Amino acid sequence: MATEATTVKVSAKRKQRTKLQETWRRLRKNRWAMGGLSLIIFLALVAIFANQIAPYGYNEQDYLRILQGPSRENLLGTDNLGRDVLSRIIHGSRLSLSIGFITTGIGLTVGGFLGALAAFYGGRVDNLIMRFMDVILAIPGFIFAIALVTALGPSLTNLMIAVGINTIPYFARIIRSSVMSTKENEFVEAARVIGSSDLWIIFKHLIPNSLAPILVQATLRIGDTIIIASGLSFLGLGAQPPLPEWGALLSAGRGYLRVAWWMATFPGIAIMITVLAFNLLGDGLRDALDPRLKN
Amino acid sequence: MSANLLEIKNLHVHYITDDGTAKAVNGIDLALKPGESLGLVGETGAGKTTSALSVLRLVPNPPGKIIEGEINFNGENLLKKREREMRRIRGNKISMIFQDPMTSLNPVFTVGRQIAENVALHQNVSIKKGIERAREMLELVEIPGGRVYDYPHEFSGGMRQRVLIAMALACNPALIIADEPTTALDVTIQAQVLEIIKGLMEKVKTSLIMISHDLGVVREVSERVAVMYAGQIVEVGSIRSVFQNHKHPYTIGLFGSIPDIDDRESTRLKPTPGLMPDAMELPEGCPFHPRCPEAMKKCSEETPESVEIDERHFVSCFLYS
Amino acid sequence: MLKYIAKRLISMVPVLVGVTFIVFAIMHFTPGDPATLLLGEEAPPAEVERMRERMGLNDPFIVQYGNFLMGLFRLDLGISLTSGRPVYNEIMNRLPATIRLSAAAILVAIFIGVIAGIIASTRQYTVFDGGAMFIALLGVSMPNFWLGLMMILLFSVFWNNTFGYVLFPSSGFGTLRHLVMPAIVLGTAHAAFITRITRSSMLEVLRQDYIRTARSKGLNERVVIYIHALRNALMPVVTMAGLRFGVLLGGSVVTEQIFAIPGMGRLLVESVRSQNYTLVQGIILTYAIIFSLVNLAVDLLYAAIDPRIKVQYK
Ligand SMILES: Nc1ncnc2c1ncn2[C@@H]1O[C@H](COP(=O)(O)OP(=O)(O)O)[C@@H](O)[C@H]1O
Ligand SMILES: [Mg+2]
Repeated sequence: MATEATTVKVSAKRKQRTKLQETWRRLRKNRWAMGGLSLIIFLALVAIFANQIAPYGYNEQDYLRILQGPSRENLLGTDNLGRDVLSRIIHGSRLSLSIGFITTGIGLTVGGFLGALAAFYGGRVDNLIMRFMDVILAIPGFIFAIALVTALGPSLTNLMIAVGINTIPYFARIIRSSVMSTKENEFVEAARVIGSSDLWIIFKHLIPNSLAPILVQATLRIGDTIIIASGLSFLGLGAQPPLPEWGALLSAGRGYLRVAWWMATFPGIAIMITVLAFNLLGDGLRDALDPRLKN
Repeated sequence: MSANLLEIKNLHVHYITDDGTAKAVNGIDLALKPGESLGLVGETGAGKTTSALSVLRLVPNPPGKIIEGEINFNGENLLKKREREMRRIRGNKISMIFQDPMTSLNPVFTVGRQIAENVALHQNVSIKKGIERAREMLELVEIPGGRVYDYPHEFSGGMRQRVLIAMALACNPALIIADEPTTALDVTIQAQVLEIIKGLMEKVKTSLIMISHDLGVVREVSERVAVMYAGQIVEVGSIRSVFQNHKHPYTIGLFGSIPDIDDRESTRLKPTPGLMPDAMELPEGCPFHPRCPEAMKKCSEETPESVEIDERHFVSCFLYS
Repeated sequence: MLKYIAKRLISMVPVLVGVTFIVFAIMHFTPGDPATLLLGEEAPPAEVERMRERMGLNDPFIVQYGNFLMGLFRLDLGISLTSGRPVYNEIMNRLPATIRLSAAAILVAIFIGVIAGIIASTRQYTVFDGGAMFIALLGVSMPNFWLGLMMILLFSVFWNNTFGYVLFPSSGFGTLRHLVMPAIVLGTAHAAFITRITRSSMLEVLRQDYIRTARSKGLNERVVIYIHALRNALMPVVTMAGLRFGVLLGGSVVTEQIFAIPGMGRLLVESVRSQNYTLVQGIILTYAIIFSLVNLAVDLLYAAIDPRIKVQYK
């Protein structure tokens, strides 16, 4: 009995690996998606080596060079405190990318856990969890995030928690449905037979098998959360000065729109390029995982 | 001998796709007199639908393309007409009944509206007048006229096919092309729909091309029959002549397994063993030669011309040339 | 049909009660004392204590929540901690501007999205298709507050510097000219989503047999596409528009901020800054109700679009 179960498990695993390989093969042929992936790698490198790349520090002020337009010394101009806009954007990439990954990570782990639990136990547990998710989804996401930030107080950490909580229902739903469909698979039955505990089964088998839709959802969500978070910062409810979070830079630029257009323009372009990169990759992944969906 | 209503001459149609070119129709010739009824039989993939769509110039493009040929309707070449002129012919002078009644009606409009639209368009009347006409047409196909305001999903498959027949007849076309109108229906309903078509054909003086893969169906409604194989017409003649005196080895194969031609159930096509070649990889010469029990060396090298072996009975085979 | 609407309205109640609970709980456990806020920091402790008692702030959480819920039936959402006026009145003052803005924006989004989606789908693989899809992708990736600032820069600042007058005013509300920029700013991202869904839905529908039937009747291509195909392709489009409306409501908060529109969103941000919890609570609840009603409307639209759905509504 036990050996039978392991062989089933092994073959399931192999199938999964080849499916991932197949996906990667298709993804590599998609020029837009690869462009998105390269951009993401580039942005990640910029974020990691921000200190080395940026010409100035993020809070390095020069009162003799206030509100200067783009020039050789300050490629993207300076702000109202004489700080280099390009440097602030480069340092800010750290914040925006971490926000994207951390908030999505929160949504993924908590949502994934809740969704898997709901699907695995069904009945009352399922009902309770999913109705709770419905309630959260009934409140427009951005507004729910505002409510949470109000309660937690405006700061970068709280911003991430608020936006992270927001993404929980999406992951809960998607993981619930894919766990539901893999639950009846033979290898799960087999794992049960050999006496694995419920939690072990969820982590070891069900979640990895739902990997494909999760990956797509997560990639697309990262872009979304970056926009939501920068929106909150824009309203003054997220990262606080002098942190160079992109939404906060835009917010500061707003006050000088008439005299220093560069202050608001460039941080927005940075957000757009970053989100675009994740969207390109996410769309490509979706098509690669399910070519039938592509027209 | 009166002039032909429809003449198809040397028609070639290809589907050009990334995976290759499917040569769906390869030089067919057909002629139809006013009021005449022609059956077009052949296995799935023989190119029947493509030929029919070519007449209406509705071959999906891309990937489909009419490569060469002539389609003369009332002496005018349809392939030379502008799209605008074609639109005045479609549904008006020539209409088509499609294979699958479940998917061929638009689910979001009432059947009355869908018939009326046709009438309003071609006879320059209001939709309201068109609905009146739709009522009459429904009655003609034995559906209560009051059902004009019902939606397609409120009808059974057989009734939907009758709605499509009513729609096709609404503008008194000179030619109707019915593409396997009974194939998608239950056996019992098939006979019913066929009866209706037969009855109507006697009433209205319309020409009919009845496409089918069922020789029995064709025998019920047609005066002449054309047998199609891999995009070519291998034999054509009057029902009587072809049923009693079939010459082409493929046609012989079709009839070969039929012990009694009065037994409708057994007249479904039971061709010679083997498969029809893929339209993407047609063999050289006569396309039937790989399966032909009489194949000669010549058959794999040249394509046979069509020969008249009896009055208006033609066969394309080297055995007779 | 009426029975169905009633049934749907009733089914909204548990979710909305859930919303009130979550929102009330979040606000309840937020640091800061409403009585102090209402009376000001300098108020004597005894008076604050009396106020706490009067506001029921000394009751257990469940009792307070129960009172709040009962109040809702009388449209009593409590009083604003800054102005002392009823929250209900404060919200009603600001609601019209938000509804006008959101409705205009979703209409802009649907209009642009459906047209662009149809053009892309009927010219698949051409520059139109590629161009429309790339612009849509940019639209999806663009934060609306940035787009707002850029439009102000372009149509108010630069336009004024070049031509000596303002094409579209950058703040205020009232005339149609005031509505143009905010509606476009708020609608753009959603137009992009709707473009994408319209395109894929149309491509699916254009393959259907009944489209071939329509063509075989001699209808011209415009009638085939805009009447026979579009109506069938509309279901996923309406679903998407309904889903996006939630995001759009969120976006309206920022848009109101940028264009100084006196709507609920600006009131929300002001209230958050002044820790005016009762008002925050009421506003969030109002947004949730609007969103739920929009979802109901989407459901009813299905029936109008597709007669097959109506059967299920009995
Ligand atoms: N849209 C299309 N794209 C590519 N090939 C097609 C298409 N439609 C038909 N074909 C090919 O053309 C040939 C003839 O098809 P068809 O005319 O439908 O035959 P029939 O109606 O006799 O079954 C087949 O080989 C088929 O695969
Ligand atoms: Mg066919």
